[in-house]
Amino acid sequence: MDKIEIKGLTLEYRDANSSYVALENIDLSVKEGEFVCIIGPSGCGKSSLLSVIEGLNKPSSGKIYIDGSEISGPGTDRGVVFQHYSLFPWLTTVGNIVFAMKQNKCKGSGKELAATAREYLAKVGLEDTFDKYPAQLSGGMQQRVAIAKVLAANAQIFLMDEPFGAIDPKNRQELQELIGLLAREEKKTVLFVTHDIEEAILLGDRIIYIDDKKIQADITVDIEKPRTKASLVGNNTYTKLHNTLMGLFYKMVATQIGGEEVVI
Amino acid sequence: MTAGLIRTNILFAALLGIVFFAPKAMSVQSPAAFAAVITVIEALYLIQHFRTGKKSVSDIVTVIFSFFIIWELAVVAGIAHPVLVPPPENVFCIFYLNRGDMLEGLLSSMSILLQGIGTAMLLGVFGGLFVGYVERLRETMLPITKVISSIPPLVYTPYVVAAMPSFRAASVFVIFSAVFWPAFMSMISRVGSIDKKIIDSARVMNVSAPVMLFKVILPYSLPDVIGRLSASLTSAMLCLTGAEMLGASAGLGYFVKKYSDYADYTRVIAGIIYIAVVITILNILVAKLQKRVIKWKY
Repeated sequence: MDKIEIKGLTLEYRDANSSYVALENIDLSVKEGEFVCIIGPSGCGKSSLLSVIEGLNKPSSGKIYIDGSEISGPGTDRGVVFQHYSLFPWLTTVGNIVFAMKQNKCKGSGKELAATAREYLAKVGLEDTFDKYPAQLSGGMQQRVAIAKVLAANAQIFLMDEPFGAIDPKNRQELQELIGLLAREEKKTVLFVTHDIEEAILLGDRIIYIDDKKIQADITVDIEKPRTKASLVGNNTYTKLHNTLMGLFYKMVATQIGGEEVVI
Repeated sequence: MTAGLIRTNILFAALLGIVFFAPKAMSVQSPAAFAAVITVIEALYLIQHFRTGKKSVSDIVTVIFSFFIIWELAVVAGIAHPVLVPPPENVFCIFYLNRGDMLEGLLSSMSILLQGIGTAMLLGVFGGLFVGYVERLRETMLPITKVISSIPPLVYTPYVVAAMPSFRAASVFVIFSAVFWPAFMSMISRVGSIDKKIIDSARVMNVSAPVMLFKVILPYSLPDVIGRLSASLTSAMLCLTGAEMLGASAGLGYFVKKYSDYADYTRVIAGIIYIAVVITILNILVAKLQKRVIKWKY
């Protein structure tokens, strides 16, 4: 049985005087422990797809199954990391993690939960931020806390929407290595939305390319893990894959500009 | 030794010299109370000076001492109006002579103030939380609240004093209105304009409605309301002292009003200084409370 199964998913945003189809008839299955990167140009629907799986948007038609049962809204089986504000600014790092753990009905006294929260903070390399507030941390550190939070809350599925999109290159690379390592160690199923081709190849077992509301390509990344940026340089499979994805992106650019041929 | 420290201490010595040794034209009471006040100011100043080393502390004390010296000199030279400008010795002596009255007035005013502010904050915060959360209620109440909270409470104070059964009830009601409407309004609009991303990150954790209200929206909105508390306090004090001058038989405002009717301006000035000190202390307490409650910045 697949961990996540999406069947015939269509999402239409409606308000009083307009409607907009964001996703059309999406089918996708994800195995347990799989790291799937979802990429595509801005506005292609990749974040919309994640929002439906998060339970924030209800599908207009189609169904989503997790472990074989249909979802009807948000659930603590899924841990979500956004690009911003995955943490409550009025709680400390430990407070944020304990909040999520309580939501997931983790057992234990407040002290025990806080101790567990500290363990997970240490795991993401943030031993000295136990009683800091998010605003006192850099963007990269905040995302580390967000990762520690979904780990501690023991979500089996990680849904990450461009989590490192606003992080500087050096920290982003560290975070990419961290999430790759943790997902493998803890056997998490990950759906990771990004618009960064390198990031997708570095992390993904599979890459789903979404464009024009539909899945246009479903590519298995046949490069042994763990991968590092350095190990990918000069790797033939990587180069080929990179070119394929670049091709997909650039075709999109051409059609976006009024369908005229655009040479880049 | 900094220039500021030398300057203020010369002024301090000069002031004490005038207080104790200058010949006074009119009858002056014991200078003990005034001298004690000056000494307390000097002591507080020295503590602040050596703790912070800020120039502004010396400057402020320079202004205070200079003011007292001018006041004293005006009395010594006999150019001060004997009824309207009493000697500072006499004014500060009132704090000793009328201590019973003043303490009673303080307690009366503070109990009214606390009741009014307490109920207003409680109802304003929780009412605003609920009304702000329900979209239809919010859309209805926000415009209404905006109109009501724009009425200066002082305007309806005489009416309320006349309409309510007792003066005490009227005062509590006026203070309640002065604090409630702004708190209620700011809470409604803060809850209504909460960042959708905050709501989303709570929703994905599958929070229940009570958790969403009390553990997410309330802590998000509280700093705004608490931040307005000092403004509320000032307007509450304004209403209270105003109301007390209209029809009370106790309180800080009553003290000032009673003695103005007797043209006893020594006591009037003492009462004004007293009210200023009380409001300042309350403001300092509120600032401390804000610091404790709001540890995070958004």
